Amino acid sequence: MELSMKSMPLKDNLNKLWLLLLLFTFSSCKKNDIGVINNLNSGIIDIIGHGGSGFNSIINPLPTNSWESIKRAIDGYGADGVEVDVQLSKDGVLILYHDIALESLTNCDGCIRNINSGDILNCEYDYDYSFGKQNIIKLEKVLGRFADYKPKPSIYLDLRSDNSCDPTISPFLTEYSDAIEQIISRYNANDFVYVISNNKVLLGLLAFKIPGLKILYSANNVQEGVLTALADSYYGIILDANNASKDDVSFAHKFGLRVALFGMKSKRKILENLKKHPDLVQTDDIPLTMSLLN
Amino acid sequence: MRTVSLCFLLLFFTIHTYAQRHILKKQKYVYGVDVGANFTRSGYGANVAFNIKKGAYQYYLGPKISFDQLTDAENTPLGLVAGFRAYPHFFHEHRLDTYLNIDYQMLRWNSACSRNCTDKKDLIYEYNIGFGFAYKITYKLQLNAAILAGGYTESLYNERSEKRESFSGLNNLYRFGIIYEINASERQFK
Repeated sequence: MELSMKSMPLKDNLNKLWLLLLLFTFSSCKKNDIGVINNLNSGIIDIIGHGGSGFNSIINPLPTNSWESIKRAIDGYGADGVEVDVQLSKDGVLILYHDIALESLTNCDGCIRNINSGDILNCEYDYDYSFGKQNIIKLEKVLGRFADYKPKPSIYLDLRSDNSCDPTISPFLTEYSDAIEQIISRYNANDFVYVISNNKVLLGLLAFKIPGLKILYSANNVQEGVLTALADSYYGIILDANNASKDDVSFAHKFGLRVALFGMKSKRKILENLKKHPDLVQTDDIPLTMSLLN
Repeated sequence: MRTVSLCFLLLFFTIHTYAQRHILKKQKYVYGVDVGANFTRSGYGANVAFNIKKGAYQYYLGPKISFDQLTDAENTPLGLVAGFRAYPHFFHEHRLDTYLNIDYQMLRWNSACSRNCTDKKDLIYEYNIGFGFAYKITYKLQLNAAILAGGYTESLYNERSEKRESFSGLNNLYRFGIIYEINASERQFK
């Protein structure tokens, strides 16, 4: 069947389309009122890249904790720092990797704790859209690079002590804390390295071995966080942004505890959390967070 | 195998289009407007482009806006989009057509900064090649969708160190749009 198709009047439709585009544009342009920042960091909210330059996504194609992702956050965007996930290998080397199992993100199998660092460092990330393949890296590479920077970027070590592959290997916390003590001492990193964990035993060991170490206790809620942090003289607490209110942040500030918030990616979520006036945010979108603060 | 298949298809499209050059000489220039939404490595955005077509070949050029980095009116990420489409079956009177698409996009916005900011810009260049489908609603108006792959290079200005750093990687581009050809000749579709 043949159909003769003639041009239909388009003026109305095009006008509607333009109107829709304009509305969309202006809805994105509304004023972002964060207010005068009242926190313990001299009114500044530090911007920390979550796992480097944010968690892996379609518009952030660099693997989490990869060298390229960390470099992009600090050298590219000029973020105040990065948060990285640290695990201990079988031979006692501190490795940057988020998940428990290697197969979830790389071409290797097993758990970090059960494998020697030589084998782990050969593992390549699967979800990698950089031109060169990204391998798993050691913490040492990061501290070695940034220890000479002026000013030094803050490196937040999220210490992961789970080992679901072989729970019999745990506890290994003494060895873990020794490795952290050695690397901090080697790079004189006490002034720019912070540790994050909810493992009170591990944090206790670290506080004992490294005087002046800045510890952020990963808390389920602000009350638990403040009680633990005060009892053990920690630097501050870190809270899930979805469960922390502005009052929670103020509550911790009253006790002289720094507050970090994590778990924000969208513009709405980032803005909502900046308005809580924390001392630092772990963000998955560094440029957007910076623009909102500017 | 995927790469070989892709190369074969690209080669096929190119040769197929080139083989029709004797027909193309008789074609007139057709001017039009593209309105499109695209999703790429740099996020989601929209563009309006002016296009010119002769026979199977269409070139387009126009401004682009990104909504992904848009935080305020003063820091609107703007850039341009330019590209080429080749329609190997342009003389077939079918509603549904396919095309080869080569696309270049550039976007610039104020560099990431939260304090002591300058007016230095971050830039991203995206270059992609791929295939698209066009559905002709009328002889002047068509809907199109394309999937492209290629690379990106971003040049980020670091306000802290006052240095520029470049990063490159693989890219994808998904585009949906409308093309309106202003002086297209009336045609009938099967």
